[in-house]
Amino acid sequence: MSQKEVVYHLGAHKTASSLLQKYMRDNTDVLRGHRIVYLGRGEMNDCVGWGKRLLKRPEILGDRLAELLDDDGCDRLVTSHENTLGPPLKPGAPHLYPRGPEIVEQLTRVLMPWRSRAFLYIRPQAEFVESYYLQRIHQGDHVSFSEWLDDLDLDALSWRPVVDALRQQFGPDRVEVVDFGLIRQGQNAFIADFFRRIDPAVDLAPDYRPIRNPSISGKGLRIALAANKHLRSDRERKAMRIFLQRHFSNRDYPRPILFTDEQKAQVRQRYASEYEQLTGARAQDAGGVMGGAGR
Amino acid sequence: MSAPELHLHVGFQQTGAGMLRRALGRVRPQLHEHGIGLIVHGALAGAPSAAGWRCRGTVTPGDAELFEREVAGLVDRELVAIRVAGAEPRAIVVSSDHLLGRENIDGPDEQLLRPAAEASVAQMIRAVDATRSRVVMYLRRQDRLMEACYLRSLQQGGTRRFEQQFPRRFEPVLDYGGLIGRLLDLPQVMDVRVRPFELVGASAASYVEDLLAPLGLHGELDLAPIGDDLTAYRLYSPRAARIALEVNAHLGSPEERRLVRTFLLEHFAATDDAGTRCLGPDERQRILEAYTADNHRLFASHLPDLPVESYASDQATSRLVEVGMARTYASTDPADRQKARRARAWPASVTEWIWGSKARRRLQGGQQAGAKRGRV
Repeated sequence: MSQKEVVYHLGAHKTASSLLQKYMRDNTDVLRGHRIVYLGRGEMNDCVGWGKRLLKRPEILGDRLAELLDDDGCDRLVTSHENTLGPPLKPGAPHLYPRGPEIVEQLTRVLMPWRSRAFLYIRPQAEFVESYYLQRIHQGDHVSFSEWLDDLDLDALSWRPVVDALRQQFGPDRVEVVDFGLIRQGQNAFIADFFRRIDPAVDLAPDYRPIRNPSISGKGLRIALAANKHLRSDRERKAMRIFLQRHFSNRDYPRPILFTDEQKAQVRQRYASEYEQLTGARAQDAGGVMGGAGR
Repeated sequence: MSAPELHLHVGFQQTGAGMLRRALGRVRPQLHEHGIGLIVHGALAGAPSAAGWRCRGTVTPGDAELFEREVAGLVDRELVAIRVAGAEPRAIVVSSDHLLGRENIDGPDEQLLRPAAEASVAQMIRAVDATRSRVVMYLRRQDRLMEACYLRSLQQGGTRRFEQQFPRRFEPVLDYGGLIGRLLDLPQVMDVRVRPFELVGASAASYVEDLLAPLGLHGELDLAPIGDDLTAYRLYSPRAARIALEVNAHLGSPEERRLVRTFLLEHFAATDDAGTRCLGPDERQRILEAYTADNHRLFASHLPDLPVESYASDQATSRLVEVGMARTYASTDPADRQKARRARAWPASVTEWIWGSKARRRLQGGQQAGAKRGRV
């Protein structure tokens, strides 16, 4: 086995993956200085897709990794791709990322020639579900939260199966499960923490321009639900997304109310101990972080 | 100082009155040189005493008097400007589509179309103190007027469906003939000049020429300063209308409505006249049939030089557009004549669209060539 290492950041969705991806994309020289090469998200889409491509054509990713790691100037390859584990929520699925275990097995086969580690940032289920719903609306969906929720089993939102699969395939000491609540320390601290976890010697002090990626407000959500059904193309949906982010985000208007307080408390209670076991953070403390990296 | 003659351009709404006023503003110095003063809507609506403008319905006599005095002041300023330009005053043109009253055309209980029209026009005539007064009114086929009004109301934040806004759409409540008759009954009004918008709507320059035709300025004005960048208000496409209909219900402030309007006009505006049609063919046909007799009388009485069936169908209305284009863009170029013949077979919307863009460019070219020759 090569001494070179692959660090694979797997998301999850709605846990500031885009912040890490954009930072690495914009700072390849800084990373090079630490003998790190970054495999960008765009290329990962081509290699992995939503996991299906990885299952069918694993050699695409394997060949690309081998090509990049062949570089004498790098000891470590970092990549970040939150779609690797497939869609996080599916009607009738027994847990989050239902295809995750199958994909993880394939992924470790691809990574076999190198040392490898997996990073998974997670957040409490109630916030995760709300945030993922808002992302779907942002992307053009127009189903109400209550209708969307009807298709979900709130007792089937465990992170554990996918985490167990990662630990089993990568090895328990090769998997980092991190509480997304760290983002409250700020974007730069969040980025620096990620690299310290990769290697304490990589002590970055990023001064990265904040990413403005605000989530839509309650009013923005109502507008999106009314308008999205009339949109036809990706271009129109993008225009609507930008418009709502600019003028009807939660910076200027109250956040949307999705789960009731009672529902939220029930979901938190249901998964509190699991969350604490997986991350070491209490779900109550980890909660209250909505939206993307712009928090 | 009294004005020798008053020309009141009173709209109708959704007949390009805003575009016309902007075009008139661009030739204002020339108008002064020809003895014509110009007072446009902004000066009236923005007057400190505008609360006394009778177009707004019931006003107190004191407020009305204040407003009339302020209008008289505006007229005096125009007369001075005319004399400074070295001319003798011939006429004052007042242009505002609020002059017939500000009520929408959709009031289900209204017995009269624009009930404040007589009081408002009479007040303006009194304020200007003109020796003779003429009202000029541009009209639009009723189904298209309703559609344009509906889209405008959605653009302003409206939340009603078309059938809710026009519950009596299949009744001939847009009584143009009655309104014209009421204005003609005013003793101070010597004439009501009626023009179909379809005849002039293709270009701002032709609109100005048409409006000023009774003043005998034909060929005397250099219309090049008007340019070809003036267009009527952009309207939503039917899809933008559907989005607005659902989104508007969630908007609270005027600023929110403005933001949504700007967004929808940027991404979902109608790209041509045909793109502003909200009515289905059956509904349109029912509306046209409801107005058949009225429109027949309207054309026979007030537009005798045009076919009485001009508002009877899309095909007939498209011929109006062609007539307007032929007058405006009269050309000896055989290619133009060929295009005009081809256009005759197309529905009004297509004709308006094609002529609207291409002919404007041609006009601009002609104007530039004319300017080089010293006249247009």
